[in-house]
Amino acid sequence: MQHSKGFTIVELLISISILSMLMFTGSFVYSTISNQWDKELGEFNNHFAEARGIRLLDKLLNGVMPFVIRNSSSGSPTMFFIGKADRLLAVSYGGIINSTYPEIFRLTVLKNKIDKFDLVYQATSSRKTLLLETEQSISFEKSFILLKDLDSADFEYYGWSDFTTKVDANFDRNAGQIKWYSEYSGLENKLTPEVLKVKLVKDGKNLDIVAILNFSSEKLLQYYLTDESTE
Amino acid sequence: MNLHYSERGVALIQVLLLTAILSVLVLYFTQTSRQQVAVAQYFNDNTDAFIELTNLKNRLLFSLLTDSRASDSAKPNNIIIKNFYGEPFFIDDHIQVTVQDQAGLLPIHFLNKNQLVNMLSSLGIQLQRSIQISEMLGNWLDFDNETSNYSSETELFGYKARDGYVHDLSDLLHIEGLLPEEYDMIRRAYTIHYPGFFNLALAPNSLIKGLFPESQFLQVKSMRDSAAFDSKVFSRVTGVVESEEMFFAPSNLIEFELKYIGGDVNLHQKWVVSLEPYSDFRPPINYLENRG
Repeated sequence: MQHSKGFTIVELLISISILSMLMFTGSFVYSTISNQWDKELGEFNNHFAEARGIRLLDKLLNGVMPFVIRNSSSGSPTMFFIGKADRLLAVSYGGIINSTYPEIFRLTVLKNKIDKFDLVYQATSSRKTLLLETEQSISFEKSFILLKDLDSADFEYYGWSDFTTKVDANFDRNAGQIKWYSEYSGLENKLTPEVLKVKLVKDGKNLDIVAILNFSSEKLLQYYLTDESTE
Repeated sequence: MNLHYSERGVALIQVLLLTAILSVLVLYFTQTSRQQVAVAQYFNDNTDAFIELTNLKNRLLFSLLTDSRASDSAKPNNIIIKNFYGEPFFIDDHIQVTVQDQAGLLPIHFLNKNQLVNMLSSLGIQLQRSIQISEMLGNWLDFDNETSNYSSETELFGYKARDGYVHDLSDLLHIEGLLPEEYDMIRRAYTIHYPGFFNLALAPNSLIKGLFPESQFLQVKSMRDSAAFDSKVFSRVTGVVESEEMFFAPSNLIEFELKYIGGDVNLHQKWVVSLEPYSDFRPPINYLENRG
């Protein structure tokens, strides 16, 4: 009777081995499936962040507006718009932080640690910052990565070479030619471009975001030619 | 007997343990799946709403470019725009449309101080304060750095004034001393876009209320509500007649706002466009403001 009450060491070893194998298999399967799930979850979140970033970028660029400021030294009016191939400084109605008020923003393409490029957004609301002149310093209150791990991101600008050519072209079609630029300075040209394009490449896939802007930015400067602002 | 119980116990623990592991796994999957589905569903609904609004925007623009506003008839399949004085209307169950002809608003860049004072006074601001506000606005917009008392605007505001083009009416919020409720009255009545003339018959109800006596406002409003409204009726009720600046014609500067209201999605887009349907060397639509 005493013999039948207990287990042999072999029985115990076998049962412990089986239990350990079960435990090991169970936890291994758990961690494998869980990791796979987390990976998919991460991919889902990345896709979501990417789609959201593209939507916000599209809204931001389409909202870019001609914004007149004064030259700090001469006092003459000019356009707040500095566009380079890898960065853009402008004002948009479609701000990302708070779209109630126009947003003064800077988009910069920066190389990251894995030799890819991030599109960094910095902005301040025009409600907080009163933008008046060229030599004014702007402190951006928010900064974050809008799109990350891009193969490349290039800005292009379609516009007139300068204010006079544009005004002349309104009357004479042969006065000048509108064309694409990789750099466009509103401060020098006294205009904003009519079309803005950013060419994004990620994992070999291309995406062009094209924004059609106000094509009569010269009218804002013409307003300064006559002081009829108040009666 | 004890031996049997003991064996059953081990099996039970194994089953419970495995069940617990599987349950934790399933619960975790279920929770994250739900979150994913909710996020994906929201994004999907948002995208659907965005596409619907984009589609409606294009149809509205097509209607604005092809329908004559002089007659009430719309071309087949065009959207019937019920009014151009900023009174919201629904296109279907969940899209609200507001269309405002910019000629129906007062031009901020050609500020008529007397008109502003009258309007603010009618809306309940004391006369002295209304005059003060009109002075503040004038100083903010004009090109010089002097107030009407020949003192410095920089000293008045504590910093430099805009002294130039206002790109958005919210720029006026920088004026020191202008209260939010006063700004709100100005925001509802003024525009930064000026088509070259003013058409009071297209003014929003809030502006009519500010510019005319209560009885006339109520008459105009009641006729607008009954759809028996046009510029002749407006002229007869208010006594306003056409002049050099007042012209009872539609302008080509239109602000339209679309609101998608449905489920969890609340999408809001706004544009101000300049329309030139017969322009031969410029695009027919110029987006002056794009808050899409």
